Amino acid sequence: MQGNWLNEFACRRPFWLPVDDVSPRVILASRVSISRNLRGMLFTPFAGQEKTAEAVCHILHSEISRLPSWDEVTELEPRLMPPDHRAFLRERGLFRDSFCQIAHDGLAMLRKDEQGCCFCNDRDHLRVMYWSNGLELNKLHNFCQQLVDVLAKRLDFCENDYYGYLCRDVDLCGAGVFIEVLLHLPALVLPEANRRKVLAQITAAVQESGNFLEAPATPEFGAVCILRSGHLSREDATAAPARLAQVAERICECELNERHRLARFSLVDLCDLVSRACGLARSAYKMSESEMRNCLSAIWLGRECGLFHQAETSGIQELFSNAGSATIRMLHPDGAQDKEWTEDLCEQLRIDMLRQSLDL
Amino acid sequence: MLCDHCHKHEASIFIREHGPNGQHSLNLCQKCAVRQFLDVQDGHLHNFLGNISKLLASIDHDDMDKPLLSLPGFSGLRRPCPHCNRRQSELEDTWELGCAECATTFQALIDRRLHALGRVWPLTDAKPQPYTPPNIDQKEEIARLTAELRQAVRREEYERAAILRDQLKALKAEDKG
Repeated sequence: MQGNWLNEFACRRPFWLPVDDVSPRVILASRVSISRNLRGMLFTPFAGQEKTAEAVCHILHSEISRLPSWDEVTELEPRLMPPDHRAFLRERGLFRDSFCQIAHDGLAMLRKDEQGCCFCNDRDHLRVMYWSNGLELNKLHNFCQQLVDVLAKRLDFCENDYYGYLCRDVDLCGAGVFIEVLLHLPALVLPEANRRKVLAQITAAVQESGNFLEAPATPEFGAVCILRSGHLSREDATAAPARLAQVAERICECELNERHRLARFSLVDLCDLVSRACGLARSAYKMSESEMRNCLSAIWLGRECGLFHQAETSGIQELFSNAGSATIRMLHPDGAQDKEWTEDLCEQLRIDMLRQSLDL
Repeated sequence: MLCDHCHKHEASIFIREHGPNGQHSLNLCQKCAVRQFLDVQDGHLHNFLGNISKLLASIDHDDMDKPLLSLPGFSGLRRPCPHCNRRQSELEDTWELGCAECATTFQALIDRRLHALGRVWPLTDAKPQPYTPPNIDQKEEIARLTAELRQAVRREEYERAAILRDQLKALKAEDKG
């Protein structure tokens, strides 16, 4: 039953993708989450806690179902889900890696419109998350705060006087507020010559922000870069959405300047980048996830600079979000011509999907 | 006083048990104590015995009347969390808290960890140190300490091994941070 729902879910366009097909998008999506401790609860599944955890989940369920737009939720128990399903939800951006790996007595309530989620597990106790496309950090932060305030009437949250919010990981103490912005930076990241420049710019922003920003990891998802708030104190958390938005806008400006420069002064480089990507998509026999995302990022850039007309931007974006192996498996629920699932098969299906969608 | 077990080495660990049936005592040298207890208890006893040994070594005769907690080398951090019973050694292994109370019990240790990760706590305007990739000397130092640690364990020099382990942990944390 859950599998069927997830298969339908996989066929839908992810909510975080931009809505319009016209303006070039650098800032793709925003995500805000607030975590809270429950007084007296242990972080690890010690014996004798199951009843308390059950009671907490019950309260959570009854409170959340009363809220507007939370009446239609899908309840998931990550612990009981097959690894493929969890991996799919992670690829979709709804679960974090850590949640997938260490969910013992977890409960996740996911809004059917994919705009919000609430977790209850032994790592975070309670985590509320909201997503939106574009840069909507303040709005999302307010949504999260409102939901936490409603829950605080029934659940006993506690904070350490010195560290504030605590969770199982010592390193994540603080305000319990995590803010992320998803950026697409093909002009800055894809050309080899620019990569150092962008990393230097982002590193400078991270250093300037002191404790505020976490250094982004090496881009694994093509030119998509996640800007993430780091270790926030309670005081910093209030101002954090505005500060992160500032940094994101600054990086966005750099990207647009670079696109402009490429289109006006280095058109040959731009054409080369896009054509190579198209050539690879046309002739490759199999393709890895990161390779496909790199390829799509270049084609997406070409489309936004007016060089590639075969496909709509929305189609490219959708492919971009479906590039993961777990999503490909989910999109092919009946398997592939009775062949056993292997990474090779996934890579072949990936390139087939790319060719069909882009009509190459 | 010779060790009650091997009757060869000088006893350095004296265990007194006061029970309803009276008082029992056992005097052991460090090697025998480790052998004796490691069979029946977990590896954390290394730390425990190492600390006791250090503590005993640091006691002057003039200090004999002082309570144990006030002696150097005994910080009281070895006590487990009163709520979830998590031990310091468990926390150091995984850096995972058992409950919110652990933060109060192990505050000094957590502060050290956050500092090693380049995070300043409590958060102020102070900025963390920018990341510098570990230089070759640091890597060499890690390799050297690892080799020394292995040698110390092989020779059953557990006190020295504990010191080397702590040095290695600090170096690796710097490396990661």
